[in-house]
Amino acid sequence: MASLLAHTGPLGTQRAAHLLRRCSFNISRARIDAFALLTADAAVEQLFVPTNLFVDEPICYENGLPWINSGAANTLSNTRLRNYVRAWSIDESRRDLSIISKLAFFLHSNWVISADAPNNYQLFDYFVILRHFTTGSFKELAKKMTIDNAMLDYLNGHDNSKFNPNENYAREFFELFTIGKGPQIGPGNYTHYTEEDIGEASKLLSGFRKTTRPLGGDPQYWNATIGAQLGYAVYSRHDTTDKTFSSAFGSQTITGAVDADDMYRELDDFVEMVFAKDETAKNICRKLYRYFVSRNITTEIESDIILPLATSLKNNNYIIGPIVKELLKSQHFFDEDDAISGDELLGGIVKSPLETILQTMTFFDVAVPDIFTHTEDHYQQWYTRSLMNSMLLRAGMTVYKPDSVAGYPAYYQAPSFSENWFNGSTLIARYKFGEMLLTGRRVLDGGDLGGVELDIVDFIHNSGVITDPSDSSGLVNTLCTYLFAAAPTTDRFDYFLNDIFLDELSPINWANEWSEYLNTGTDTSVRIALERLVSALISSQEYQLS
Amino acid sequence: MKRRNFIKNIGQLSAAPLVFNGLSLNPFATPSMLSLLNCEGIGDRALVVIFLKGGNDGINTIVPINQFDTYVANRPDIALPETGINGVIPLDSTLPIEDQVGLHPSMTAFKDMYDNGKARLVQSVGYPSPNQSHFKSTDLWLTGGDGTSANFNLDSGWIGRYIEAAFPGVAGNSTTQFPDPLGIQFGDSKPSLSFHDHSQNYTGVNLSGQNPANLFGLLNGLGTAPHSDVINSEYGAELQYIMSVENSLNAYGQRITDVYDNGNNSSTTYPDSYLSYQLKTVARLIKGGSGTKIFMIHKSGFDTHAGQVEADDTHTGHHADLLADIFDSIKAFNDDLGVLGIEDRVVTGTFSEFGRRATQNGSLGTDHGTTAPLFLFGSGINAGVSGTNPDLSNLTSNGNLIDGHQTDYRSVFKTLLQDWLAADATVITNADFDAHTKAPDLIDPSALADPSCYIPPQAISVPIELREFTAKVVDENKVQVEWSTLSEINHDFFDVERSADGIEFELFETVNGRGESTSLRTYSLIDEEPLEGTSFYRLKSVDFTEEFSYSPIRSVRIKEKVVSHYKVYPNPAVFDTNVVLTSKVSADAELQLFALDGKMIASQSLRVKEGFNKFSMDVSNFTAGNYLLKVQSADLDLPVSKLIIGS
Repeated sequence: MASLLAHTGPLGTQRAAHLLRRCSFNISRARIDAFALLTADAAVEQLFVPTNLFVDEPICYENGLPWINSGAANTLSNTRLRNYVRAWSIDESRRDLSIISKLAFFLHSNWVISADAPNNYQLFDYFVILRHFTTGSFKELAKKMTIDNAMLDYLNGHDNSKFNPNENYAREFFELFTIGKGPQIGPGNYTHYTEEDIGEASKLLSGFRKTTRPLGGDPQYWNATIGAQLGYAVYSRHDTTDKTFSSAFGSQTITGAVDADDMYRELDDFVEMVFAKDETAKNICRKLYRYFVSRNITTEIESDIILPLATSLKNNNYIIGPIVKELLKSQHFFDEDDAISGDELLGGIVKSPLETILQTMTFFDVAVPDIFTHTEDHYQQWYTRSLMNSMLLRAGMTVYKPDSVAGYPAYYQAPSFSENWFNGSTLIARYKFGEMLLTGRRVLDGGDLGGVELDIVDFIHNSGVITDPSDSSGLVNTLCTYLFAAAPTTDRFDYFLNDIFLDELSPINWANEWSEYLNTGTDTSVRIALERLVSALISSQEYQLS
Repeated sequence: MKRRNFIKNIGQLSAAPLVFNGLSLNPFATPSMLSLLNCEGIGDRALVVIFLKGGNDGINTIVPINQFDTYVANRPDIALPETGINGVIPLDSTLPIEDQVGLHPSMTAFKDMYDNGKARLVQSVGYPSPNQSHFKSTDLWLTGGDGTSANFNLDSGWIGRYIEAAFPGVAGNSTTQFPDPLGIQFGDSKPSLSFHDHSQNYTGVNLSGQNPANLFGLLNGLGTAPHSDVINSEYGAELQYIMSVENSLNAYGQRITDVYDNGNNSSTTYPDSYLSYQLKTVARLIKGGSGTKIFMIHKSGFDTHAGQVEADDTHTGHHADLLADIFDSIKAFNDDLGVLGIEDRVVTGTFSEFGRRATQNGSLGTDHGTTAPLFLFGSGINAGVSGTNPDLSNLTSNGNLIDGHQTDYRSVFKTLLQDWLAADATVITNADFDAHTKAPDLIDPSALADPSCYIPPQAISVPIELREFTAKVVDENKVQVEWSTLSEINHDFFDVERSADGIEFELFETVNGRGESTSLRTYSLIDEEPLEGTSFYRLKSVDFTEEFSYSPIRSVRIKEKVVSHYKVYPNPAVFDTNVVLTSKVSADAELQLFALDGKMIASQSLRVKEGFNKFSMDVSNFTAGNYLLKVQSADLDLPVSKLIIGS
């Protein structure tokens, strides 16, 4: 029986690494070692201590100033600035030692927009709203997302009026964002809601409009609690009739608004109605489970894990933090709730390209161009041209602009889920990540990484991750231990050690090479072997998995 | 440096060696067993399917001429002009008036192909209980499902089931008969659900974003060796999944590059678009000899909730651009095939997950609808129109057509599989198409696949059905190779092949097969003198017609002997005895002499250097008799030698 009972005792290295890989874009040996000594409870609590943002908003390389809520205007195109807002979010995720960025990405993968839709200020606000609600109420987020400028733009809420209802947002609100679609039990009847409900909801949501978002924000539309600007209610465009929903919602009627302010009451009533359904809580919990734990939701998981979490979630006003904590602390999360420990869950998810690159960079301590001194390289050459538009794109991830409103297939497309990240189209780019970092070049399309480069000799020599670099067996063993979800078999370890790293020469030879390097400072020979090893580890089957 | 990468290790599974050894007269012709049945050419046919993602607005694509006023009333802001230079293009005045349609003015290419007998319009295609979610309806179209509960959650795709049924065991395993991937996907890095077979294996190869010209070059040297075994866990299962993707890409990587290099396009001008690029690549692959049966192409952007037309200039805008791209690209593709002389090998079809409402919304756009027209192209297509116009005045309260589908999309697919790709009744059954009737008149009578040309699945002869093939180290320094077969048909012999690098294999031993067998047969042999270090074994199964196939490659690792040419002489010795050895490493050692009771009676320190060594020991002081001599070292593993000291 699957169990939400807390895992007890120190985590140890493998479980600590499992927890960190699933919950953070930032991995290092030091972090894994520190967590290894903690109980699941202490480690998870620590993950929920928010990390301060490194910069509150992106910096413009033209003038070195922030440009969203403070600072100065600049002359860069909106397209570029949107990319820099995305870059800002990724860079903060890279630095974040807490679970917040991982949860923010979860919320993004649920409340999908495309970064192509809004202007750069509106895109920034979208991220601010997601981050504000990461551990907070999913239900309150639902109310805010409905009138978020980026969302109003992306799903045509802005165009939805009593004159011409546009049901794009209402449909996805039910199907993708909240309660989810059930079996089709009649024409236009998806068990949890119907086509008629979509029509009524479209009317109810008519009249909310985007607001112009200048630098610094417009005080009239500013939400000080969140620190972002929202859309607004235009009563003259609103359908003021009463809206009656289907039997899926107990045939509830929501009274039409009497003025613009009352439109928010109507929105509240609507969201409360949808979130009063158990199915909404269950659907959110299933999504969280797939994101953090596994794609396999058996009837046992449904009854032992999903249902209790959903009950807590609904009873606790849809505050996400506590149930995610409970899930991550559980024996189940570490696969220690049945007869055979460790044969499920651990290593059972294919990492996203973003996770793969950021975790690689943080583990090997690869620096990005400095935000303040190399601002253009930071935003343009590295994050935009290299990471987003080359490495991630070729690996099948258009980050923050998934190609449909359903988001990234890894999180919704049954039955394969995360396997969607890995296929004939994405394999080459993923397997080239290591080579790209080691050479500092975009080997598939040319150009450099803006100064991002992994100096593997320096890392092995000076990071402290490898206790004794002259010990080839210890070196390979340490890297496998911290990089892979499970220890390699003897054969596999032999392969990495002898075939790849030592190139079938003796360990003594390596020790001599290393001491030669220490004595002379000439690293040619040790660099070849170390680059060969790291390139192989990053392009191994094991490393694709979390 | 000997890199052992998956590409090299598994690469030889492909039929490439046969091709490059020159055994095949034309390496790029797909060997067709259908020629035996006098069905020349049918085995070379391909189907190209273009998925218009987002829900194409069928009503602004194909406008009912007889309901033009209703059409305009439903869509006052986005309706196309009825006449004039920017008006709809009347398709065919010979049709009954209620069937006559006006094409979107961007569709001159369609009109041209139709007039030349190379295009067909199928009206109101859909399925029972239409679903208006992009994602669900897409899944339904790709899996062959519909809105009824029985068919709502299928896990496998219609293409995958066809491939599985028509070419059992072939997907992912490049063979002599089928060196090419049976399905290729372009234009979407997400693996299409349509290619999943009953076991949820992806039966195609996803080439989205890859340039076939350098595919093999990029794969060469990439990645790490396959695992010889994986633990039984979810992690192990995912490792297997990843290896299967490597395997399939790798098995076909060289072949795809070769076919692409061997092919060419004509000077036909293609439009400058992503769709066009995909089709151009398909033409070149087919010209180069690709035997791929189904190509799946993607074109997105059809979710036109807003701004599908320019206000007051409705023949222009986003939707007009989309349609121009589709039909201009398809026409260029077909023209190219014509110049290349392979037009009669390819049929192209489009589909979209649903159509759009009969009424506009307020954003110069349309919301999700139900049925939509589907288009078929090629010289093998029976030009014309299937079905009639939907009734634009018979609408639901939210503006959807009340008329259901006239043609079930599965009927269209079934017809293409049977009448074009020559799938036989068994294949159709196994691909779960029995519940649907064929759609009439889609394929030109002269191009109909004769029933006797249907490919019987058993005709895909694999000489053996291999149950397992293993190689493992026994007795520390020997390798045991074992395998078993579930069946053998017309099977002559096995060649067990061995390789030091996973690239160049040489024959190790030949083992006779059983000819015909339908029960479990096991085989085993021992390699007494295996290669040192990691070595690789594979099985080549050869049938009586000299067709052959390869097993997966297995690797084993024999601990290397650090010391060779170890010898003690003279023996018996009277004064001195010598130990010679050649070592790969330098090491500290001790030469030890033991009495038979195990007591050490003499020893001397040695420094073994790399290369040849010779050490002497003075034994003249020991009484005659039998002794044991050993070179003891932590780094060297040497046997104890019996030494006789004479008098």
